[in-house]
Amino acid sequence: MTRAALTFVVLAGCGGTMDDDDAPPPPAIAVEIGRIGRDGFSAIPEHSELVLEPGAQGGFHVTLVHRIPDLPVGSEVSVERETRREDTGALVARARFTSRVGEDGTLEKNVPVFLCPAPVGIPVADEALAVRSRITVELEGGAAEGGAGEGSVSFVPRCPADFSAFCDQICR
Amino acid sequence: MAVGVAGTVAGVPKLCEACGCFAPPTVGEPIVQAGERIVFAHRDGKVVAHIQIQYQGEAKDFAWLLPLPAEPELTLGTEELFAKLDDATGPQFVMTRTQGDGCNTGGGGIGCSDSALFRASGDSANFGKKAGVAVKESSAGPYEYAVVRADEKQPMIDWLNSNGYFVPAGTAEAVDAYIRPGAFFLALRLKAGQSAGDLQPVVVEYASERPMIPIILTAVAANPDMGVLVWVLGDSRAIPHNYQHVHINEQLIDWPGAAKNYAAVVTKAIDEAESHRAFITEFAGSTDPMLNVLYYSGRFGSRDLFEGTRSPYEYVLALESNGFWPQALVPILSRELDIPAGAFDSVNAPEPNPFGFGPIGETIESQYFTIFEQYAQVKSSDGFDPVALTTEIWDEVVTPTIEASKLFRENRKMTRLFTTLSPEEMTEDPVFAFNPDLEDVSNIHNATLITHCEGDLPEELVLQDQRAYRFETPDQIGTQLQLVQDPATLRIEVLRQEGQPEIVTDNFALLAEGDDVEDGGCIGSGRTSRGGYSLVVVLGIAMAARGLLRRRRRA
Repeated sequence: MTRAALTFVVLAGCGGTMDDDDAPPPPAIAVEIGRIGRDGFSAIPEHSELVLEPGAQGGFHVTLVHRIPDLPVGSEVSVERETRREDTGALVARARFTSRVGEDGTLEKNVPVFLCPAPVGIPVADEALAVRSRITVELEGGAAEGGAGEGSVSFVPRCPADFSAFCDQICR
Repeated sequence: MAVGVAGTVAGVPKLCEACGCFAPPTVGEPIVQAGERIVFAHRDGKVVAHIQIQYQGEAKDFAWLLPLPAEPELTLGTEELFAKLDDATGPQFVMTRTQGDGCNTGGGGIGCSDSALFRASGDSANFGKKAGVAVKESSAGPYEYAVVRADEKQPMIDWLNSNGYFVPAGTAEAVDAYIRPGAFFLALRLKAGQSAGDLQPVVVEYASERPMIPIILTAVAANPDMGVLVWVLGDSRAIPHNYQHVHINEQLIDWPGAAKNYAAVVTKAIDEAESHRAFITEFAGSTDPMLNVLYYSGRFGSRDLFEGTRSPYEYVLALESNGFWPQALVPILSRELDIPAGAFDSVNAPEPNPFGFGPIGETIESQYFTIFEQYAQVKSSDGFDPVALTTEIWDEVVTPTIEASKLFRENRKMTRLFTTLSPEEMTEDPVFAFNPDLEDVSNIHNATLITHCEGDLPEELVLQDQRAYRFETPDQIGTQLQLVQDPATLRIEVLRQEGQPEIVTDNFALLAEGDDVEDGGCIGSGRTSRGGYSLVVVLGIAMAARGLLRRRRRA
């Protein structure tokens, strides 16, 4: 999807001149999931090991960043993200939030994937987890979809050495 | 949420005044549990927590410490939020009496209905204060507070100690789980000259994905079986994310005795869950009943009206006629009108009306205003500053109440969750999530007591799930918790963020089949009720519940 094509859909939606029945399906947009490092955004290779980050209220999470390279800076998007155990499909975490697209295509707001304390009976530490994020472009007024796409990644969270005992206690 | 207790009254209903506790349970009132009481909501990526601090002790010893993932914003809350939420969501046990075989009335009549309430007791905790680097020091209402960095433990503890924030013994160890880079602690204390009766709920707003109670820290100053009561507001029903979920065996409830053993039944049920950690859902449903409760058009009148009054008495009359909730005014008006401590000891809940037309006697609100008026009448108008008084009331009462009312416009659902925990069980902080697939939960529980007029037939208690139990006398009903070995849980389950509950233990068949308990003199035998009772039971439930609600609305 080119930026020009997406812009057309956005403008058409805002103008409200298109009959809903005649509207083309929302354009698919590319979604990448990764992390921010010294060199900026980098996608996470499948089944990477990620160290759990301690949260200040006693839990652990991982921070994932979404990048949507084809959207104009400032675009408003909705994110629905689910994290499941890869082996059983059990839902571990779910989040829904909105954000604007920043300069490099990454979202300005990225809600951490809350993993610990783990759900009752579903260990997460050292278990392969699959994250799937559905991104929907919000048009002004929220009247119609300006595009949608999905990104996914899998990773294995590991307890940090500094908090290994406590992490083991609440992440398994 | 936080640590900082100074005493707790577990399981003992207690009459309080300004602290917002309620009168001892009486027939016709809702059950309420005190303890740690928190209302959680989520707004723009931030958790909004309204926290009611319950404290018993000297004001100078009061301190409260809360670990947070981000620098918080702190404002004053309102006690009225908790009081009205209690009214709307507190568990009610309604026992309908009806007559069975051989009775001339033809049976099926709706007898008197009793609703039992209980208020579990409250616990609070004392907390400490700032750390090596104090990010912020400020005040709000009766409180002084500090936000301190919790990157390192010892500098934070030292700062709290050296700046006059009380740090309970054991805090240093308990905070370990919360010490990490980027962490903060909020430390709260009462300003000089304030009394423990001035404690007002606080609202803490901080960036976080999920509501969580730092119960590990609470263990420092918690009593055994401390009650924790949480309302979680959101788009769907809230669930305990990392605790099990239980349904109590209502056979054990003291139905004729105003369900005064409710806390004990819940505690026993919780103790049957894994690691003695579980919550019970006391209510889950729409927030509609709370709309227009805390704020409605015209409530509080205009500032001009109050600022133009010429005497304290005129001022108090204006407060009453503009819908103010008097309990929230006690700290301010006590200072303004020189009302001595203990002046409100005479306030009592009105007696229930056996004829069902509302309680007998003055409402609690009316009694408070009567006391205000008595002192306002003798208070000289010299030096009366209605502008300053109005500013104080607007800052500490009106604005917090209006802000709290927004919670129910912003969130479609509210879920009331309760548990009891002892310090040794406080090893994992409870976290809450949501499940849109789960059904609502009513706070009204019903049973029917069937009395037979022929022969020596025992009385029968029929529960809402159609289990029926026989008793020689109604007095035996409330004694089962101690005498019967039956489980206190009907079910133990795990609630997920999607789908229906996963059953861990289902005791229904065991309890329904009954075991003809003969322990200690035939307390009861469980069995499922005959189908013939169903209609009577259902009608009784509906009518009794409506009557109860009607009476409570009038109250």
